[in-house]
Parts: sequence; C-alpha cells; structure tokens
Amino acid sequence: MQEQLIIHCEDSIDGIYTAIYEGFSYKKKLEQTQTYQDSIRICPGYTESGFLFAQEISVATDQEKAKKTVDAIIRKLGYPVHETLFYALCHFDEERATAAFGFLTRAFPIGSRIMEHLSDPYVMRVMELHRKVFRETDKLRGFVRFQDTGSFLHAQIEPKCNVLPLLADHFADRYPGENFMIRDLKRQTALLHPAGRSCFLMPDSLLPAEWLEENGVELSDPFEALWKQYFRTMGIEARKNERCQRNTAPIWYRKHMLEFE
Amino acid sequence: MTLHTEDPNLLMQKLTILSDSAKYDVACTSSGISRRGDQTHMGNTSSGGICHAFTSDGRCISLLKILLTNECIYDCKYCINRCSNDVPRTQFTPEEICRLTMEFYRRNYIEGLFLSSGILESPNHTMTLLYETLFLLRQKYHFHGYIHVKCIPGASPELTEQIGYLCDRMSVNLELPTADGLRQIAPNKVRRNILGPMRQIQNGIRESRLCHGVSDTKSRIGIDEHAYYAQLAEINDSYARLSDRRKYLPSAPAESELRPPAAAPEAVPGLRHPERYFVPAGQSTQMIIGATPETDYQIISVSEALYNHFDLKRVFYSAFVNVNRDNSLPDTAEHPPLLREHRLYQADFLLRFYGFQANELLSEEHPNFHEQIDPKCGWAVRHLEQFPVEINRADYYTLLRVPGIGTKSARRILAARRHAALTFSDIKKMGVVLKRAQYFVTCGGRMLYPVRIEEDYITRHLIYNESPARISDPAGSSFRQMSLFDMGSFAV
Repeated sequence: MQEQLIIHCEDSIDGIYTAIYEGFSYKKKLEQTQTYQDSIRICPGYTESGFLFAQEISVATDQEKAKKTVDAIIRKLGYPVHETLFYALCHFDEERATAAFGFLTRAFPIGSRIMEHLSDPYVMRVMELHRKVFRETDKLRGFVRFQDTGSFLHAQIEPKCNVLPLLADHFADRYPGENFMIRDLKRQTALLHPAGRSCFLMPDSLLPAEWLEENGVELSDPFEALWKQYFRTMGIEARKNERCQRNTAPIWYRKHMLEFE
Repeated sequence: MTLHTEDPNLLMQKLTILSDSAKYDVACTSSGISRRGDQTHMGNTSSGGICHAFTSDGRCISLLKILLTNECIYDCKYCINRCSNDVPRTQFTPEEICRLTMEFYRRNYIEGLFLSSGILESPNHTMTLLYETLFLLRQKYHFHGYIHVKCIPGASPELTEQIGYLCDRMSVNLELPTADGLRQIAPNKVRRNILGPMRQIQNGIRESRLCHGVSDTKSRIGIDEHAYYAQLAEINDSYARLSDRRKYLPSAPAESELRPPAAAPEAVPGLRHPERYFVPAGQSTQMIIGATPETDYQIISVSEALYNHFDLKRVFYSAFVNVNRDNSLPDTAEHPPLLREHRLYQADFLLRFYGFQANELLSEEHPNFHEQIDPKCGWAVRHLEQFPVEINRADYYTLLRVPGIGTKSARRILAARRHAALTFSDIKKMGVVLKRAQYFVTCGGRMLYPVRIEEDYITRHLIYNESPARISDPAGSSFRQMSLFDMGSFAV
C-alpha cells in the first residue's frame, strides 16, 4: 500500500487546478521508483482530513500553474473533455477534486476518447458529477428571476452547485445591453455584468452595501404582477397535477421565484 | 418602469383573458434552433429550449403564450373562443404584445413569444396583424429571442412566407386526426386549407436550408448568426426606404395594398431570398385527442405520415377538455384522457427516435395502446422471439428496441463496450432502467435474474413492478396477480 498524499488547496476552481498541477509533479517523482496507485487525494477548503497515516501538504493558488493545467487539458484532451471536467469541478462534493485527479491520470495516456471508458469508476464519477451540475445549471438558466431595481437587474439564487461561472456566458450573451447582477447567497459571491462589457465574479464583501439589501425597498413593478397573473392563468384546472409540478420544478428551487410566493 | 400611457389594469385584464384562452394550445417548446446574441440587442436561443416555469398541471412555461385576440368568426365546437360563446372579448395592440414580451424576457420569465389568434374579420386580416406584431418586435424592439407563430389556415401564401422570415417556428393546427372529424366539429375549417400552408412551409424550409448547405430538414440547426443579423438589417433597411418613398407619395397607401388579394395564386418557390432563414426551428402541429372516435392506430398513422411527408418537427397531442360542455361531444371536462395522451407521446417518440413504424406498434386488430404498460414494453412482450438481446454485441437499433434503454444510454453502451465488457451494474450507471430492461437483455450471456421469457409472465411483472429476485415463483404459475376483489369464490 502506497503512502497517501493529501493536497489541501483553496476552495476555488483555480485552487483545484493548482493542486492538480502539484499532484502531477509529485506523481512524476513517485513513478521513478514505483508504479502509481491512486494514492493522491485533493481536499479543497483546507479542512482537517482526519487521515492518520498520510502525508499532507498545502498549496497556495497560483494562476500560472492553474493556467498550465487548463492548457494541458485542452491541448491533450480537447475542449469537450475540458468542459465536462470544469462542470464536474463546480459540484459541491468533497471528493470532486480527487475524482478529477484520478480521471486525469487515466485520461492523459488515452486522449480525447477517455469519455468512452465508462466502466472505469473515475471516468464514471466525473460523468455523474458533470450530469448533476449540468442539470442544475440547465434548470437555473430558466429559473433565475431578475428584479428591476431601476438601475440594474438583480437576481438571487441558492444553488447546490457552484453554477455562477457556468451561467455567466448564457446571460451575458442574452442581455448584452443590461447591467445585471446574480448573487449566489450560499457562496456569497456575485456575478456582475456591466452593460456592453464582459462578466466577472466578485465576493459579496467587496460589493456596495446597498446592493446587498434583501430587496427591502418596495418595488412596484407592474410586470411582476402581470407575470404572477399569467402564471396563475396558465394552469388548466382539469389537468391539475402537483406531483408532476414538484418533479419538474422541485420545491427548493422555488424560494427565489416570485410566481411561487 | 412605467407602462407609459397604458392603464396597467386594462393590460392585466387583457393578459388574463387572452392567456386564459390560449392555454389549451399545447406546444410551449422553445427548441430547434441555436442562435447566439448579437452583442448589442436582447435575446438568443438555445437548441434544446429552456423551461422557465411549471404550471400547477406540470406543463412547462417556456414562451409567453397569448392570443392577439379572442374574437373569432368561426364556430368550432371544442374551442372556448367560438363565436357562439358568450365570453368577454378583447384584443392586444401589437405594441402591447411587444412591450410585454420584452419586459418579461428581460426579467428572465420567458424564452420568447408564442402568438396565436382568433380569426378577426378574415384569415388575411388576422395574419396581417400577426405580421405587424412580429415585424415590430424584431425590427423596432430588436428582439432576438424565440418566436413561435400560428399560421392561420386560409391566409394568403405571401403572408405566410413573409411571416416565416420573422419567426423561428410556425405551426398549422391539424385540430383533428381525420377529415371526417374536422367536418363534424369544426364546420368552418377545411382540411385542404390546413395541409396547403403546411406544404408551403415545408418547401420553404427545405429550400432555405439547402441554401445554407443543410440538406436535412428536421435536425436542430445552429444558424450562422452573421447571415441572420445581416438579413434583419436588410429587412430594416428596405423598410426605411419604403417609408422614405411613402413620404413623397401624394397620400398614404390604401390599406388594401398591405393586404394581398384573398385569391392569391399559390406562391411559387423562387430565388427571392436565398440567403434568408425561413422558419429555422421547423414546423409543428397539434391534434385534439378524445373528442372524436379515432383509434390510437389512426392517430399515430397520421403522425407518421406528417413526419414522413411533411417533415414536421413535432406533432403535439392535446387531451380533449370539453370546456364548452357541448352535448354532442364526450364529457371530459373533469377527466380529460391524460393517460391516452401520455401513451401517444410515448409512441410519438418511438416513431421519431427509435426507428419504429406505426404498424409495428399497433394494427387494425389491436388498435389501442395498453393502459398499464407503455407502447415499447407492449411491443416487446408481443415480440419475445427477438429477445433477449446481448448488451455487448447488439447493434444500435436493436438496443433501442429494448424497454428501459433510451437513445442516450444506447449511445453510451456503444462507446463503452469498445473498451471493456459491460456488466449489469455498468449499464445501470449508464442510465439503463433495469426494472424494465432486465427481462429483455443479457450481459455476457447471462440474464440478471432467471426469468421465463413468456408474454404473460413478463407483462404481469412489468405491470406490478415486482422484482423476480424477490418473489418466489412456483413452477408453472402463469396466473395473474391476485387481488382482494378477485376472491369471488369466498364471497358470502
């Protein structure tokens, strides 16, 4: 049994990419003397691992190294695999980074057709993570509700996965001429889009305090009332089926959707 | 954020009436076309469509589905807007529709607009109003989201063609599966007037796609944004020139000029706009189920013909709700035939994606779907000679015929078995529903549990959803599951 190496890193996409970079340089060293047996774990968030017999190191996020990792993935595996892996890394699962590392150790020798190796547990795990994140992102593309505050459009979400980086392109492409902000209340981050420019992410702590207020101001937006009325009218009484509605629009999504208030 | 001159209460009333009368139209999809935004104006579309909300009946709201007006000169028995009904009537102005669409879209409530209408004055007049609305929405408000518009049967081909360049999807409602049914309950509609525009749209789509190097008439297309936005700019430009010309005309052009003559000749497909996209997301239609006595076999045969001969993207089925409580029609106001509608949708998918034909699923002797098992299981238990299928060897279409295997899992199986022999736990993770598939497949020559390949036995297990592993099955028990109410012999 090989000694485990646990790499602690910052809980962010770039943090994980940095850890993957370090993981590969350690693996290379290891392989000079023995064969590698999936002994590297990556733990995002600097939490205690609780493993007794393991070597532990911490890495600081390094944009340079993160970029090198991404470049290598795109170059050797192609863009679709990079996209799948990126989605998987946006999952909330503690082991997502470990799964991604195991996946990459198998993927690099094989190349872009790695996604076909579904009977491999690491490949399967990455695919499952991707599927989960993709579904949530897909739902949220429809379920995000903007409020017109007069100066910008404001939306709040509480997603399970870290979906903001995945929603950015869709909304920026859709509303190029709008100032909008989508806040992830769970991760206390906001996606900002100034009209006519590209999106960026920002932690809540750096935002002006009046933007963060819980829509305390009474906004009388006639279109909100119109939308609620439209939503009520569209249901056909004779076909009523709330179980089906709960399947398609699960309750936890409804918290920030005005029509379900 | 004000509604300008309009009265919000009035708009609220109109929206309530005109969405209430539009809700029985089933299609609310925003799929079929992928188009990125133009970096300045609002809107894009996604090829898979996006659902924005789900109503209390579980149906998705993707588009703002409204009627331009619920006034109607026709008297179709199934329709809530028929002229003999005494309901409040109202009409949106094109500007009102545009503002609603834009403001809803901005707040991410909807994917776009689904515009339909009752027949006001004449089909041509109605269609001109629809055209005006779409023109404003695309050219004045620069809306690049999804637009689905109903084509009014009986309107002139020129109008249909012009609208086709502004919308993403068009649909002509077939209303009822057979011409007989149509005559009985929609006396003002003629089947020829429905199939005519359908054929015209089909030809338009085929021609426009060919001009863009796509020979396939049904696939989702990612359109060349450059060409699309150039096209809209061109329309805008020509409109500006038109209004310039009008300035120098002695008097405003008579309205009749806008309205092509009713008896216009069939539009000849020509080379007028080879660079434009015509109905890029394809056309669809809908049928009402359960108002007339057609069988499932007749219905899916009609759908099959529509897919094969009219290149339709989708046929929608709408369980009949007798909103008018009309005595000559079945009373389904409380219990619309929802299960039947569901079975038809399942069969429809089998026709479109699974390589089935209508006459394989049903026949004259066996004209309706089983209530308790889905059409694919129904087909499989009647064709047990073709099973079990070996997961590691069977080809794509053979795999697709196995209940519990869909297009995605079949493709995953094809990819994965190139690299390793697959087991039941592998295919389960790939999305195969073993609950149904276990009776029909082997992995490495073995079935999951020992089952008897026998129609009665499998049907019973599929219906009662028992696992063969859990029930002990005494040899030769081909009895049906017993229920408390069957115990007639013990009755007092």
